[in-house]
Amino acid sequence: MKILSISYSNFRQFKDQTVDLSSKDGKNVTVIYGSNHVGKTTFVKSIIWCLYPDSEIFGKGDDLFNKDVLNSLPISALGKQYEAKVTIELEHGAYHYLVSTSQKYNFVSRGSGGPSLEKTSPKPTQIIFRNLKSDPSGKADILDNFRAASEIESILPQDLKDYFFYDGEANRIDEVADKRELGKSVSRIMNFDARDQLINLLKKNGPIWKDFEKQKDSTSFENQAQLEAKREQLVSKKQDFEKQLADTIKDRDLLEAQRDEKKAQIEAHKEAGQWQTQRRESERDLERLQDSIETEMQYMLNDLSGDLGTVGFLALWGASKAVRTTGIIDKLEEIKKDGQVHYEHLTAATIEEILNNGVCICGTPIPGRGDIYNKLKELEKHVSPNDNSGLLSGLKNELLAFEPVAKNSASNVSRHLRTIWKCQKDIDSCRDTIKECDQKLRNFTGDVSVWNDDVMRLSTLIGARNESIKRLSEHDISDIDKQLDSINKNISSFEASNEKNKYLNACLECLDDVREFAESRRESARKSVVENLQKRVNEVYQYLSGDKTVTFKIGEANFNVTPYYAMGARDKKVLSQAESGMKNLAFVSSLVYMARHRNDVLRDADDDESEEFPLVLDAPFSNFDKDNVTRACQVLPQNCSQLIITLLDKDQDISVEYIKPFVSQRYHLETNENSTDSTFEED
Amino acid sequence: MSIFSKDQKISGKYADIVRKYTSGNVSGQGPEKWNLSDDDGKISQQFLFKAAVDMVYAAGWIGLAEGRRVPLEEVKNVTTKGDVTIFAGQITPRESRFWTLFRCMVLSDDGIGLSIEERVKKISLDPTTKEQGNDDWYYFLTYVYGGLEFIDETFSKVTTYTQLLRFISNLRCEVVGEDD
Repeated sequence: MKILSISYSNFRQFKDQTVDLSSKDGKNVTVIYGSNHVGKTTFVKSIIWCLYPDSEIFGKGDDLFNKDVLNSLPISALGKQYEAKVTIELEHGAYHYLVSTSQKYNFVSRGSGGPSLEKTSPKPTQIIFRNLKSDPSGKADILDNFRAASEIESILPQDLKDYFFYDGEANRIDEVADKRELGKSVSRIMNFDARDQLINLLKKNGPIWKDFEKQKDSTSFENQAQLEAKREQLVSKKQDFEKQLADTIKDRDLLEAQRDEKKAQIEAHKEAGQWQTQRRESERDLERLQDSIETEMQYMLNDLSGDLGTVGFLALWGASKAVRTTGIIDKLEEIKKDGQVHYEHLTAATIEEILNNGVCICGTPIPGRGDIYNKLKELEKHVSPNDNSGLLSGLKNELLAFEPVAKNSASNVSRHLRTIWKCQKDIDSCRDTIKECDQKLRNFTGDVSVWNDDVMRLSTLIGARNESIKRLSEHDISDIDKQLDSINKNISSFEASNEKNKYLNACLECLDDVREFAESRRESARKSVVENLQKRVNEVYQYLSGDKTVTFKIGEANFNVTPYYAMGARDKKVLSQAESGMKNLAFVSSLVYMARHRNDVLRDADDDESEEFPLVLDAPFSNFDKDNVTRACQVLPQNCSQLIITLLDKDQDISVEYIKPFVSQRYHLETNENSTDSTFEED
Repeated sequence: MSIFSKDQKISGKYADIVRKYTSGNVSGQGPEKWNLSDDDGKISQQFLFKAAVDMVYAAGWIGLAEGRRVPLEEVKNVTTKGDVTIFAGQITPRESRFWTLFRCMVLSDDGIGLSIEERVKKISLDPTTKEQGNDDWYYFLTYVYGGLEFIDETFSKVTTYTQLLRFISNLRCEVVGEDD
């Protein structure tokens, strides 16, 4: 960072002025000198205020607006807005910046108490215009508020301002920087923070480590092993199925060959087969016909026999013949014609039965039960002569009925006979056929039907084998292939995961190596910084003071500067105010030097870039004697890339001769007559 | 009591004839069964009647038709060894059928020693005594035994199915004529 110029607008006593600052190599010193209270410290503070508006370097109550301007504001300006502004033009890295900080006010009163301003906002406003150095006329980036503060923080962190804007009168390093802050600050200047951040990023369970771990699949090894075991089982099962399939195909082919052989045999004896078929069919017919005859014969015998419900044909034949041969019908006619009578003999038992049943033996109901006399009277009517003519005529009718019934029965018998004779005729035909078949087959000993049965049996077996083959090939093996395909895909996926895991583990190992390396580099860098800083602080201090009885040790942990005194060199082992100032100047200038030559100091810092910082010293020689001043003037410009120094007139007089070769800009700061304003007068 | 509503017996050789030609459960052991042989010479047992009661009924008509009777005294003296019992349970359901046969026997028998009037009385009334009932049964059996003898004589000669069919055919012709 190099500050090129500072411009003021209505700011404190500087009203409207621009101060150009030197930054050329070899001519890198800007001196601003003047008597007390002309604004040297305000000048240094204005730089700090411009860069760090929140630092409250002027305190909350300090009025930043130029008093002369305020006093000159007319009443008509009441209510108008004004601002006190500092603009710093600087360069850093590849950029050119205009950093402008302003505090805005409203002109509120001009009464008896004088003119008065009121802040429009409690805090100053900062705005940065950023251009590439290589393209200064290009469109500038405009950064404000938080972005502006962040940009300044990245250029020169606020924590470090005390080292680069050093108030020699206050020896502020001893006042404000405690040991812990010092350690942190030096670390930042030497860019150790980046190393620490890197190490923190790389450490175990750090963000990068966790990110790598998160990408690993912790189950993939186990899952892959399980799947491989399952795949092995399936492959074995598939091999079993394939063997089974091959055996079944072989078996099927064998059966097909046997079947083909049988078929050929059947084809060769086709005619014999037909005769055998015909013979078998005839035998079956014969058997069926014989069964029919037997059945029909039983029906016929049943008809001959008769039973409870039907009178048999033999009895009917006998009865019809008896009716014809005995002449019984004629006899019955004669009995009727001759008036033969029938007297009913009523026995005691018959009478008792009639009385009990109330029905006569001829079937007529006898009413008046209970009155024996009346009943007997009634009964007399039924035992009158000639009352059996009904019985005889009934008998006649029964006998006459035999002939038609017998004829009907004979018809049934005829039907049976015809059926039986027809069957017998068919049986004869079957027997003739069988005989003919036997004649044709007399020289043939085989049985084509057995061969056909064999073909059927073999076809069934072949069908079963084909089913098995289909099941094995289309289902069992195919299913396993599908499962294997799926498993292989999963295994491939797990293999990829495992490969990725291996890669990630390698990365983690590598990360650890890098971390260890970075840690060792950081340690060596820290040692180197401590070593170099200590050496340079001692060299500068001893050059400034000419005192070799004191040496300073830099603490490795916090860079604390501790004086060590030579044995018997001093009675009182306390640094004087001048010595303390020289120590601080030695430390600050050494630090700036170290930052400027960081690559050389860290030796191994290949990626580090050296940084240039301005050293702004406010009256640093206040407590110095002449020798100290002259030495400081010789050594400080060589340590810094840019030195901006304010001096009291007396110190300027002493130093001018020694510092002159390095000075590019020199301003005499003086108060204007009849005014509170100060003006930078360039020599 | 009617002679056709109680158990009755067929005795002696007539009982053997009944056993020979019936297939049902006929009491007692007969000497042989009626056999027929087929065209292949295969002999099988055969029957003409399913039950003894049906054969007795048919034999009565055949005896009457053929005029074949066994004298009454002979009937009475037939040995009772190996009787076939016609149970009342079989005969009673056919009682009216048997009564018709019996009436026809009595009315047509001019040699029975009874006037027409007496024969009409006989066929109109149950026997009044046990002895009269026995006598009536013996009278009935004269025709039945004659018919059984005829059946046996006829069918003993029928030894093949062909002969049986031919015989039956002839009987059929007797009933319906040649044209049927």
